[in-house]
Amino acid sequence: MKRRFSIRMMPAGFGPLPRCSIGRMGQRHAQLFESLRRDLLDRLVEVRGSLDHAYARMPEAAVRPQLEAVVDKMQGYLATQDLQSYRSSAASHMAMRVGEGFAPENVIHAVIAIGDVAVQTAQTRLAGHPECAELVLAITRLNFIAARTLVGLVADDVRRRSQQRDLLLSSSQTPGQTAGPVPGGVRS
Amino acid sequence: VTSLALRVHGATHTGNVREGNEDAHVLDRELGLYAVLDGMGGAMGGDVASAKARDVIHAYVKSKRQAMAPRDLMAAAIGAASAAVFEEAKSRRDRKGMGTTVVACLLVDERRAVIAHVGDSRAYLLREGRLQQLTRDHTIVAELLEKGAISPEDAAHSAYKSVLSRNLGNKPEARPDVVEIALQAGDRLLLCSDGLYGYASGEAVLHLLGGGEGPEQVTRDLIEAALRGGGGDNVTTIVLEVGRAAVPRATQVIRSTGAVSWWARRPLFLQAARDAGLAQSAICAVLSPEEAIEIVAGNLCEAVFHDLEQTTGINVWTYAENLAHGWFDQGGDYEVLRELVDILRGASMAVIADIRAGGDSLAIMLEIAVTRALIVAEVAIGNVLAERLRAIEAELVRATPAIAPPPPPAGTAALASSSTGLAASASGSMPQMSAEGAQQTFVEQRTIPYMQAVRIDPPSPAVARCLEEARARAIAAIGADDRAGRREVADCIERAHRAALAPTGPSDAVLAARELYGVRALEESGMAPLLDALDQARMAHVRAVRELDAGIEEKVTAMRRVSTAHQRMVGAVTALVIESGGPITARLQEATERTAGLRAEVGRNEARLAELERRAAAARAARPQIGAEP
Repeated sequence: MKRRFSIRMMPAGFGPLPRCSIGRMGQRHAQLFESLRRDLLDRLVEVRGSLDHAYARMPEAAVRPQLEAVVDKMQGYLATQDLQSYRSSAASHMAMRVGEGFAPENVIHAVIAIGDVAVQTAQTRLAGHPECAELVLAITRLNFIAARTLVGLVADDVRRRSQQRDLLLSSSQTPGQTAGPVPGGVRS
Repeated sequence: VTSLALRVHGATHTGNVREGNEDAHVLDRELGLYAVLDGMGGAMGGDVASAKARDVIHAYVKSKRQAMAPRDLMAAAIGAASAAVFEEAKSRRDRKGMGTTVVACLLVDERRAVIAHVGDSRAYLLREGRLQQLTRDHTIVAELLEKGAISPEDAAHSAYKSVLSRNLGNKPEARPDVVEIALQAGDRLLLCSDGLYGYASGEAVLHLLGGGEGPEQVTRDLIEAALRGGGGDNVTTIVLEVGRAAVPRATQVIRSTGAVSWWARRPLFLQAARDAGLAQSAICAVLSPEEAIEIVAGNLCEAVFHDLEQTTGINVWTYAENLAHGWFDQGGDYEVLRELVDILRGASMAVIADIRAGGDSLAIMLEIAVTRALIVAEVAIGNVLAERLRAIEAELVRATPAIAPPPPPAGTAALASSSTGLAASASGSMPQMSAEGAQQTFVEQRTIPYMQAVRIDPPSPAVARCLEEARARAIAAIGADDRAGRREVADCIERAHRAALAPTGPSDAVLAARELYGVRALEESGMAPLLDALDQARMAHVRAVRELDAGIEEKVTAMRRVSTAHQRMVGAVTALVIESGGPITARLQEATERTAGLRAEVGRNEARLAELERRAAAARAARPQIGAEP
């Protein structure tokens, strides 16, 4: 049974909370996130094998900068709300990981899992903090954006490959025609 | 002993393989005593041993609770249990060899607990999200490992890893390990037999123990995890939660109030989806508008409700997977599906907004939970797309043999003709890589051009020696250089060397480049240092090959391999830079246009300023003449 994702990781309890306003609270969220940063990175390194099986084989010194880069992007988005920049970095991340031979769905899972660990860390470290719930909500929204962005990249790849296939098939039906360059990027 | 704010639950299960349950446990809230015992001896009476030890420990602690210090009490109780089991085993021949493990926890007060154990039953402490094992297994392998006699890898695969070095019953006396721990609010203690940790992963235990469920649910989930992992042994768990305030947990709130509030607003959800034009989506083309709302929106609403109620994601996952499969199988576009999900997301937010009117706390919790559900939906769609991507790539490979082979690149024409090349490959006779010079050809089977399999044969021993010597010389040469970035240059040389030696061709160079590049966005660090390092590495490496004292043929071949490796690495890094830079190109373009506009405006303003200054100067020059007038 597929149960890779669960929403079991919920906060210990929330008190009365102010109305959430991500735009106004962006800097505050980034500051709170900064206070979690060290714990979050430690936790990510600790559970790296469950984020991505490749991380399990990598030494801590090698994996920490990679995870730090992802965390930096999350923090950057929380601070600036610059969606375009975040999408750019997500696209880079996807390209790198796929280039290293990972299945796209594994890349998506790993990024979402990093977001989940961030949520879990926030809930644990900021339990009782008045802004805990808002930060968790902000990270969860960010995780949705990450999922949407990465799925969109896979969809783009599917479209390109479909075009290539159609072109190849049509070429194969034309006598004497050779397979020339195909549209779309080259993926390692 | 106080049991204020203490929640505890324990359960045991026979497992999937064993016929009987030889585990036993103690749950005495009044006494503050909790224990798990794992009997052994099978037909010899493992169940008898664990039950006997359980009863003795319980009775001993109960009778001496006020008279002895907690640590001494636990050690003495376990000693008494061991003597009793030993006597029982001695008294009956059919019970010779029986024994049991034990891990016991005695709550001294709200802030202290004593943990005692013998054997391989374990105690864990979950504190602030971290799981710590409080006990050390009394097994032969664990003790050898501790002494450094064997490696962790050997220990993990040892056939004797379950052989106990200590237990209750094989001797009259026991040697329990006893520790006292300070408790904090929110701590969770787990006592378990090896049937749990032997079959459920540490991650699963951590996930379930730290997941916000109450001890009763966690105990059930842990046993279920062990059963899913094989359930090859009896499994017993006790979960204690210390000092949590009686505030209802978010999970509980979501499962009860949250789920009910969501379901109560089903009409609002459907109306919002209707207003957003869900029925007009191409996905709903074969349905009437009302059917579309009921089936597409109604089903998601119900799936979210069940997932909220059960704290899972499986219903939404299944919903999204079915939707995506159905749509993509018809040849549908992702964009249409994305728009549909956005409509449903909008409807979800309308429900959240309505709930927010009644209180922010529940609304925020519910928004987090519903967004999580929608993330699950996105990931499910991503999985379907990834499956399709693989299927299309397989089709591409299959489609290619029907096409005439592409002409070989100009540089490889000679190679192809000299070593049979593509034609030979296509006719089924594989080209043999006999000569060192014929390093490239088309192997395996023909495929589409950008997936063309290229293999470089391993170098001959003489060339390999040349390559090795060149590597050493190149690194020594840059080692004498004291400039910064020396390590990066050496790294590049090492990777190029491996790529030059690699029998798998350019993939090593590409992988090396990706490792050098790392995971980063282009804008966060400049590429100049890496490109400089690659350049220096190439020069040092090539110079080292040139200076080799070897035969001309070996040197030429080594030079070709080294140059090719460096070229491919530089090419791959460049491709990565371009790949990473793609998304920000539009932003750069926009910034450039804006800058050009601003520059033009500055130019205009400067011209205007100059004109104004000129007029002012003219006015100043004219003023004395006016004053000189009579």
